[in-house]
Amino acid sequence: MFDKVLIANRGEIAFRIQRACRAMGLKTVVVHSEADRDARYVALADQALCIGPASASKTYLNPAAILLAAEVSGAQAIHPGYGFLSESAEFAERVAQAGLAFIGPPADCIRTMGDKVAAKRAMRLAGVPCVPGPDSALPDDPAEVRAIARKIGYPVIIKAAGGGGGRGMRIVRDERDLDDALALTRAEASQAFKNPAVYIEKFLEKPRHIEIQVLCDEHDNHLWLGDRDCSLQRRNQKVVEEAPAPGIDRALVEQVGLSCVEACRRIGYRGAGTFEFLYEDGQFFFIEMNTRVQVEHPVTEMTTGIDIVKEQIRIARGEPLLIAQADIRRVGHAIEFRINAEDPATFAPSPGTVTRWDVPGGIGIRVDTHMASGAPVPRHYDSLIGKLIAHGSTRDEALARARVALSELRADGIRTNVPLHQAILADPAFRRGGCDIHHLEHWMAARVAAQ
Amino acid sequence: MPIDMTHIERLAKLLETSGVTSIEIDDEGQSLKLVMETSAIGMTSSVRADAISSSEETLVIAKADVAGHFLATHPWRAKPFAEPGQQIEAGAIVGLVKIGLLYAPVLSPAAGILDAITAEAGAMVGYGTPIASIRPTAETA
Repeated sequence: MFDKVLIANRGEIAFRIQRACRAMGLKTVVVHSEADRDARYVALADQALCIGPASASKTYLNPAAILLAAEVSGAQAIHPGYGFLSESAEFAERVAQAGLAFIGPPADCIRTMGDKVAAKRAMRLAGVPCVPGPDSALPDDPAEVRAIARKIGYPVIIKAAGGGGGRGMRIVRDERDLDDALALTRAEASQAFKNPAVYIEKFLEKPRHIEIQVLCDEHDNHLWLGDRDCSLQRRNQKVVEEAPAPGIDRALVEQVGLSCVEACRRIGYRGAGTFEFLYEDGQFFFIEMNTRVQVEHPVTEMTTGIDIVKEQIRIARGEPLLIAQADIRRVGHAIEFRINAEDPATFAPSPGTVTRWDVPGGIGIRVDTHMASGAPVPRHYDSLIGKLIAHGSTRDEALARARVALSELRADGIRTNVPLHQAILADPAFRRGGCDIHHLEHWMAARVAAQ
Repeated sequence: MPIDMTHIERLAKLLETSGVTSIEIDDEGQSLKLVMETSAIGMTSSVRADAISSSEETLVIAKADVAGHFLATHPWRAKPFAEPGQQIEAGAIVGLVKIGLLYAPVLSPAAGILDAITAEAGAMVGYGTPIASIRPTAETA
């Protein structure tokens, strides 16, 4: 059983994982790039090791450097966080081969879920509702593909089996465009994902993005913790997330949650994971599973009181979950705003040094951030510098608390998207709840046009 | 018979005690070449006083390029790779970083006089940790 954890990530999630470890009495080893040398969690680590220059490919994406750092520091477990190597089956395998615990699912689960066709097949078998379309890769013959597309009904979407997160996909509204779209997506897939397989699905016009958080141990305990609505997106990047999803029949969510649990049992899942769905016209459609902790996990933590990162670590230590499905209570409403160092209008990254950092507080407010006054925001990584999470007994109360908290947040020296969040909070459609995944982009375009 | 680490260690000790400078072995597709470092460490310590004439800002720093534990001395030898005051070449080894079974050399970025080994033997170092300071030889103008 391990007592020293190497955190193979950076930024707010590195700090989040470190907090969980320290609260559990575990020692932390932080590996970092030269650009992150002055981060708060580096100073708070039991051991900190600089493993390379700023470039992520030489550090946070470099399995050899991370494994060597584990050897040097004597860490017995590696937490990959999200992004970077968190969904690399190969990395999970190498960690296990080095005799270390990987705080995440077994490598074969990551591999199955990383292949979107294999994932869809596994989900269908478990009774999870999927987007209409075959759960196999498309044949080479364009005539056969045309027949499949006609059967599904246009519009359809062609997706790379190795893609995900909005990458490697193309919408086809008319049969005339099918052949070209197919060839392009295939070429992209083999280049970008080293897997030329593509598949086809019905394209949903106005879906919402709803996801289910699961937690599984190796003692046959499989739980679903709750649902999240992450429909507010810009270019497939989530901007605001909330739990629970407003306006959806709770009995239906319950049914989908239980089907996720059944899928986990069948594939021998272990650790934390998220099933992502599109939701349209009262129906759920599985799109993909993320085999790691997610950026938006705090909204589920706030409504259930369950520390997801702590449970991930306990599961990796081989301990059984102490929660039963019937004990899970979802209280109130939580909403998360991703705070990015970027221009609120152009979305251009805004790296630099934070010269003043005033953090909001008060009842129901949680801020997960690695920022502090004087902290650098390196230009080499994504622009997420923190997350503001507001909890209330109702959605309205959570939104009211968020409004006050956003007005208290002060970050000098860099630009942030706080003004965008404040505008979103004033948008009547958002206030009603239940916007689809295109709403944010349409609403922003309308604002620009009105100015 | 495959060559293993204990053979190499024994051979290296034999070479050192017998004063042989190099040995090369070819055997069933494997080859091993051992070359003893011949520079006489210690002889140069008297140079130090003369070398301190140049100013502080001309020091160049040899840095670790991998995370590990710093060693100023090869584990099989008693004397450090380089000592303060000693003349060293660009690319000379000033110490090792030990990562489990691996040893990565820390190299001097310039020719000059070793000013000091700044890293502590046995200490954990990371990428970019200063290991040694070197007073570079003035360019022959």
